[in-house]
Amino acid sequence: MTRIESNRPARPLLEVVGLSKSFGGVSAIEDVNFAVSSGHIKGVIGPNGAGKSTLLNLVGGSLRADRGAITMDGVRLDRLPAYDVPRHGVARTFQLVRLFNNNHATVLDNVLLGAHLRLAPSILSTLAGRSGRQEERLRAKAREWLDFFGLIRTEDRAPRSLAFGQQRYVELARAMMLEPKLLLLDEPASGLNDAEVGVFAGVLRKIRDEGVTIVLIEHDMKLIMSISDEILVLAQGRKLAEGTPEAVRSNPEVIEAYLGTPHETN
Amino acid sequence: MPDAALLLQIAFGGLSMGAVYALLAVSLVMVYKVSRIVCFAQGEFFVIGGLTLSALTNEAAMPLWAAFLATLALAGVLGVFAERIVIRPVRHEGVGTVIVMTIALSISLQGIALPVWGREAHVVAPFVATPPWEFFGAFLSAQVLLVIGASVVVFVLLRTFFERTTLGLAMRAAAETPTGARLVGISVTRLTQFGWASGVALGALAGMLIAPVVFLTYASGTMPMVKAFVAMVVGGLSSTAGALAGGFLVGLLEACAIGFVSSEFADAIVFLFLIGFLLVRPGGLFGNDAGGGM
Amino acid sequence: MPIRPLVHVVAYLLLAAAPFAFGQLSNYYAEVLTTVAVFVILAASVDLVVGVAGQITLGHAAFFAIGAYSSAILTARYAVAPVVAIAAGMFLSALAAYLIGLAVLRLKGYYLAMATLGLTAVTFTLLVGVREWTGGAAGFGGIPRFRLAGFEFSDGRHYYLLVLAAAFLVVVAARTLLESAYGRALIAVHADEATATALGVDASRYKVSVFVFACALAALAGSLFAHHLRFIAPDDFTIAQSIHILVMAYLGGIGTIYGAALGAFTLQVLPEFVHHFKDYERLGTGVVLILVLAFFPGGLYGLVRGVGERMRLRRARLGEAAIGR
Repeated sequence: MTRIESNRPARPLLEVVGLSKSFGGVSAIEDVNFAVSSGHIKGVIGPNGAGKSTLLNLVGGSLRADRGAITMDGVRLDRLPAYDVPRHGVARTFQLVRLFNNNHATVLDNVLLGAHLRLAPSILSTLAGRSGRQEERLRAKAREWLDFFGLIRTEDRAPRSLAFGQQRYVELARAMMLEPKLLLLDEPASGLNDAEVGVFAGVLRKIRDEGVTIVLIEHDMKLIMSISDEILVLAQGRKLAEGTPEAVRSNPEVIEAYLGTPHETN
Repeated sequence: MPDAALLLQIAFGGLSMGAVYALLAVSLVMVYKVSRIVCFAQGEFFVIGGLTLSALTNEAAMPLWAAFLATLALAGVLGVFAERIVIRPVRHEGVGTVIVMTIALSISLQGIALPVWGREAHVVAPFVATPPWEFFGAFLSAQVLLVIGASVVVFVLLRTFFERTTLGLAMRAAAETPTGARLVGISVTRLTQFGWASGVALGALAGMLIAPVVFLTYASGTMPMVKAFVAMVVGGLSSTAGALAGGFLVGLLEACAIGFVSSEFADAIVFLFLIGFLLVRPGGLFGNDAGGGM
Repeated sequence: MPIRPLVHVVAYLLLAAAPFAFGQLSNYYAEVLTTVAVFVILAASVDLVVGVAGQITLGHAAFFAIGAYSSAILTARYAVAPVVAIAAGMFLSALAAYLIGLAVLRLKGYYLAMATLGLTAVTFTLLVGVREWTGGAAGFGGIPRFRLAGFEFSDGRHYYLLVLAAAFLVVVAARTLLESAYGRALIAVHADEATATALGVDASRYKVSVFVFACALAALAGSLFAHHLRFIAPDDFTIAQSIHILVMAYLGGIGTIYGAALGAFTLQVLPEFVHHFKDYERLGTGVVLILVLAFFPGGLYGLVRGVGERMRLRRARLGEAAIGR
């Protein structure tokens, strides 16, 4: 595990320029520009309907932008087919946890799906029995991640039988199996109580310390302010502000649009 | 230049089969509108309608109007039964399971029809005894006109029902947003049952109308149903107008294929058209359901 | 559940010996079971597409036909070696599945079901219409017996051993795929294509590949079928047949492969034992299927496993009682 220095070099990993997306005439994202430095945690906040999830979907590749460029490490993500984006090191979790429960899929099966790209399974390779050892290695790695999140005993259970917070961590484990450079999290702490949020913040920091860049959408202000290196504020599809938590917290426009008048913030 | 008689005969043939497909397609749309399900047993309701009419008018010697109404009533009951016992348990399962459940229903219905009516074709006397009319060498029977007329009348009635009456609007609401509908006091269950009862009755109606023209057997339902699917797709899964137009379109396409190509390959042409249409414009001409009904 | 070779070998030996239990009638029962084995291949392959990958196909009869007629035409008219004809049929089927799959598997739900239904209908019409090649509605007869490396399978019981082995290989192969990373990818595509894509799964590629594989297996079944009955007709390749195959998979327990095999066995063998109720066979099938879909989603296989589970628990409890807990 590499420890990254606190005064990190601000090398941009992700650069978003002029991003726009509208749905049937209604603009969801309008001309948004921002960058995320490598090894940083970028929080994304904004009122409901600000376009935060849309932004994440655009970066992750599940939505096609109308205009703009999304570049990561020199690769134009917005030009790739959706299934190709993860291969360049982008993993994500979803607001409403999306784990698979069909066909007797277990927690371990779900986490192993994160290793899909590494295994690159095909009919021929499976029937020829090629991938045995690699699968064993990745299975061990999956168990490591489950253990990291304290879920090792749930590996054979159906995901829907787990508590919501546990399901969140399974989804995170699955995302980490992709060994991503960039991790996109959509409200990962919603539904967690204060104690759990504290644990979660620690988990995020550990992941960041392993060299993963994180972009996370959150409504929990305490979490976002305490953990983010930088915050992006969206309102009505446009960038309202971008900067350190302190800068954003005291930005009058942000306060007005989102946090309320000065004496309401703590 | 093909002669007028041939063209007219193709047109009449296309319109008559087209009317059957239209009625069947409209009955399928009825069920779809109310429960978002395409019923793969519709062919059986079609056949059972015709066969029941045959049994009631021949064996039971009932007057036509009484047998007609009795069959419609029976079909309605069958529809409610189907919705309750067969469809409701799997309403929220995946599309595959729902399809196979309606297939299971179709198998069961065929399983009932086979011992009851056997494998032979059953005859129904034409509703009116007028001889067929002749136009420039082409023939048009009174029964065929009845079918065509009925399909138009049914369409107009349904259109009015769904767009103008409270009950119709409630049914559409119940299908589109069941929770929202319940919140405003609409009994989704009642409406779904009513929708199925009507849909099945319409399917039976189609069978009754065509029974004097095409002698039905217990297995005659599959092909017309599949062609009604084509009509439904062309029109858009939830559009009554689309189903009507689609039905006549498919009927005419089939008639042209029979007339200009060959009767052997007519079916292939119709189904190649279906596949092609699905690949190009799955949402249908009138509908907006591009998601396969999911 | 890991695939245990011993269980499969024992099962094969038991089933291979089964016809001989009927003494004088061993030839007849070998023939019945050969047809069962053919349908096991069909049901297991359709289960991969429908149960595992979640793509509802009503087109399997079309690919069954490609294999059957390829073998029939090549071996009867052109004296091609049966094994070569099988390979040709499977290749043709795979190619057709690839081209059709690329186009049609973009569709979902009812649209996919209808498109594949259309496929079966088109194939049936062509089988009847293109008489010079297929023999038309009257069928295609005079298909030679299967030959392998000079040995002719003139005894139905020997041919049964071959077809049974093929069925076992198909089931084991399908199970292997199911339990592998490839199977997991299919399951993900089945559950939620968008999320699978976010994990790097090229959904289209996996849907097409499983479709091609399954349709090639359907063709294999067709070829084996052709050499079995030595007479085929379009009536074997109708919409009803596509439905029949799908029903087997659901009845047995969709998505488990073993369930499909059990369903095929049940639907093909049961009529043998309920002769007098022949007219009610269809009703029985329909009603049982309704009950299974409504109350026993795991199918017959799920029921069997459930019973097995309860017996195991009972034995464990009895064991505890014996030790005096």
